[in-house]
Amino acid sequence: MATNKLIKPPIVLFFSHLTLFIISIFLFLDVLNMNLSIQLSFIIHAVAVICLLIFLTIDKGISSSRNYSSDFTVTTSKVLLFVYILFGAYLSWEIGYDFAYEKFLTGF
Amino acid sequence: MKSFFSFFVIVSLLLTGLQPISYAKTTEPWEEELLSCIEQKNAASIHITVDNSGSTEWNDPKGYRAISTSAITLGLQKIVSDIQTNTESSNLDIEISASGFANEATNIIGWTNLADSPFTKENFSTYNSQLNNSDGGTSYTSAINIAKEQFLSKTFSQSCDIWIFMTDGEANERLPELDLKITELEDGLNPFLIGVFLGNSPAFRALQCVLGEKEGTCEIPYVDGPDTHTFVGINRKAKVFKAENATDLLSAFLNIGSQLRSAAFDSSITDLESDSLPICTKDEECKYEIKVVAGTQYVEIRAEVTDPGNQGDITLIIEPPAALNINDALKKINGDLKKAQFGDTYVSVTWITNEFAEIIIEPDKDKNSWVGNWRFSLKADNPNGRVVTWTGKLHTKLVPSLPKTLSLRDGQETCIDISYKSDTVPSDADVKLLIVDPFDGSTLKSIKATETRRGHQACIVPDQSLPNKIKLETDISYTVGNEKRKADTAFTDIIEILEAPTYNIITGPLSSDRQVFKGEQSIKFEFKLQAGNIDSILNVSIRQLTSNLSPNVDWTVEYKGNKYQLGTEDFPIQVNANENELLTLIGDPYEAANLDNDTMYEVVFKSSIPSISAVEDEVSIQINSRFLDVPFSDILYYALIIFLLFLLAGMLFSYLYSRFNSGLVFDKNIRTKTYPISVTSGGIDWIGDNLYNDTFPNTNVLLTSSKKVSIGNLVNIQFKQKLLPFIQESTAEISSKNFFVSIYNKEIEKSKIIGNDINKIWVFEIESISEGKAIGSLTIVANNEQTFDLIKQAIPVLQSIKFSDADILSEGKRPIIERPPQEPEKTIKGSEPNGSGGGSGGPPPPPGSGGPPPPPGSGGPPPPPGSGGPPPPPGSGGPPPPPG
Repeated sequence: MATNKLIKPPIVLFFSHLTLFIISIFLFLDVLNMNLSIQLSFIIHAVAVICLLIFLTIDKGISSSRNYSSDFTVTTSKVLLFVYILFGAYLSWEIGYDFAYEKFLTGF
Repeated sequence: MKSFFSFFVIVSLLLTGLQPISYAKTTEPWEEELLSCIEQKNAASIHITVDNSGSTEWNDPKGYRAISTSAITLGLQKIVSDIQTNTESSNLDIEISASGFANEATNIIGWTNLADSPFTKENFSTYNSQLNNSDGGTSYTSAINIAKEQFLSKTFSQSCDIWIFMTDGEANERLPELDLKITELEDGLNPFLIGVFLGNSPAFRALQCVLGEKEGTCEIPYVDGPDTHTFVGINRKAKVFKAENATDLLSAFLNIGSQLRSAAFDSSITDLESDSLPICTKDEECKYEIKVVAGTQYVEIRAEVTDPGNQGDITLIIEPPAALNINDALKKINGDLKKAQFGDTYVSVTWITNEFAEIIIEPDKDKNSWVGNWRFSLKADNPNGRVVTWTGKLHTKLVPSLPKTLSLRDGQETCIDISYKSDTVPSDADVKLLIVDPFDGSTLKSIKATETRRGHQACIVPDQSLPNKIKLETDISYTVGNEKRKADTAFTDIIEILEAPTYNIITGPLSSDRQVFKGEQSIKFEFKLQAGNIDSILNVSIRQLTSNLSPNVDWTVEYKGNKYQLGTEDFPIQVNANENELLTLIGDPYEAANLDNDTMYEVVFKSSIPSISAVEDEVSIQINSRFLDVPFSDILYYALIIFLLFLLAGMLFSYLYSRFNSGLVFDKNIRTKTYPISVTSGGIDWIGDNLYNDTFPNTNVLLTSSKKVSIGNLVNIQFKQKLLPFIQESTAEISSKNFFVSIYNKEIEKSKIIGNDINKIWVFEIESISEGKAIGSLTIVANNEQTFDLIKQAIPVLQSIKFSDADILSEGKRPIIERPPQEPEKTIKGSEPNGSGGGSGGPPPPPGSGGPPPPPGSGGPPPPPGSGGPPPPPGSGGPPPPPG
């Protein structure tokens, strides 16, 4: 790691999780009328969360470095972590409802 | 040739017996034959032979023979014209010729096809002189001969031959001779023999016998002895009309024309009551009234005015029914009127002679405004006692209609409409609907029909007394004038009486199990529908029987792939006869619910057969259901599991990433070097190389990995893996088997959690402590010269640490660290990159300057005031001055 460079998490990872998040929202709202299932939205959102957590992990790994410099991607990602968790909770509720309903219906 | 006087007497006698020709009361044989012939051949060849004997000079002084011939010719010409413009009548071609006879016969008019004939009232006058010739005897034989010649030379190959023979006298020939001649004519050509006898003599009877209308012995009482002959057989195609006077001759000819019209148009002729009225002035009333009834096709009104007839001063006034809405000015007609529109009719007026006028009214068959009373009157400023005799004829043809096909069922009343053209309802009509056996034509039943606004209606309730197949026909009598007429007969096709209607049978639900509304999922109840024997409609309604808090439900019926939502206009369902189908009732709840008890519904199926009646057959079936929904706890349970899996996946991946990729942070040029030193409060003795005399390039490259690095003698720096690396700060642990102090800790420890950046580190490993003197090795780690210099500035902090033996011997105890009171913060900040050494900016205390006194109980004697610390080892020198 070069000491003369500012160290910060890869921006590609930031945009990756952000893009995946947006895609999952689009799929959930079915903006394009593709009639894809909510499960697909949930899986994409989970991947987005994984990317976000890796992004934050990298950030934490280098934050103690003297050359570390925080920027908007880090602060945004920290905020988005809560948003992602909330959205994940909502999707979990929907899928859980469907799952419970399916179990309920097949229980007869 | 007979004298005109005798002719006149005979004619007068004959004419006294002349009555308006009745066609209506009974159909005469010649009429039947004529109708039959015209129906077959659709053509007629008419030859008129008029008497030109000398007696006609007195009997017909005004020349009615020519007038009559003209009238019948023009009349027949009009019939042909009407037929050509009438799409409903059959085709009829007529050709006509005329001859005169006295002692010899003379051909006057050659065969002329009336379809394209040029005859007009005016140009026909060229034949008047020949037709009205009066000279010579009365040779029937010559008349018969010329008629025979004419029929043999006619232009129509297939036509009904009609010979109109007009005479006013007794024949020159004896009756047996005439019988023989006529028989020859009949055997050869067999024409219709229509005689018109002008006068009233015994010769009239003789003419009837000669032409074959009568049989038996006929006699002509001549002065020199009677001429007697017995005629055998009747010719059904013979008829002799009697004309009292010359004007009757015209009537007779016109009547023959009317009969031909009737035959051509297949209509009935009804003579209306005649009336003689004076010609009145404008202010007087002298109306001849007729009633034009439904079914009228043609009206002939004749006005015969007494001498001197119409001198051009008579106005004909026609007052039609008010519904015709005719302007008053149009009602007044002076002289002739060519066929002109008169409301919904066409009217023509022809003064054939000064004394004789014919009014023709042709109603529009598609209208009925002309039905009603028509009034006619002749008015003149100076009537001069003239009297008009009105006669009228209605040509009627009432054509009812019945639907060709009907659906009749046992025990089911069916009403059948009998309609008429142009919606005219015949007045005083006796209308019956006959049920006829189609196999033998016998009438099984007669049903009287009742009048409706647009016709008549008869209702039938078929019963077991009727055969399976029947036929319906009308039997209608209606009043025309004072007579009853039979209307045409309308038939239906053969109708099969169907069995009594049966309604739909609906059974179910096929599954008697209770259906469960699972959440918002729909349920289905299936019913079996066995349709009745007639196409029907089905309505479905549903009612909740149980009073509970069950949600509302949208009910839909699925039948043959089509869906009908209850409570909408989707209904009724069309059910075809005799079909067996499955009917599915689908319930779609508005919302999910969890109920402890069942919900009962009543489904009502209402079948009806609109083609029969509006009566509904109702079937009620109860269905049972239960509303159940998934418990909230289940939803929460599964949602939590999924959410935890979601979080766990994220954490797992971040942990694994951290595990494999995170580590110590250091520069690729990182270097290290270890210096043996002894430290007292008085200073640092450099046993080997002196840091302050050393340079960064003189240090060694540090071999390290991302997770662990070993420096000095026994010091290890190990990266510490975190469970939640995305929120936990990355750390490393610096540890050694010896006690040490470092840039991170100013207390003597064996391990210390530090940041994972190892680019700037100094560690003093303590090998031994004796009387406040610590001997060990100082290891520095630096990534560049600047860091190396900074470390140099930080190292003097070691002098501020008071080392004690007990601290090393007793692991549980910590050495007492005496910090210079003037630099309490420097000790703490020694862990910072710009630690105490660099931050103070001053040089380390000189050897011998003395350190801080040991804490009480530390065991060591305090140094004497001013004694300072021990002197640095020889050659060690003092620490270099801080840069700058």
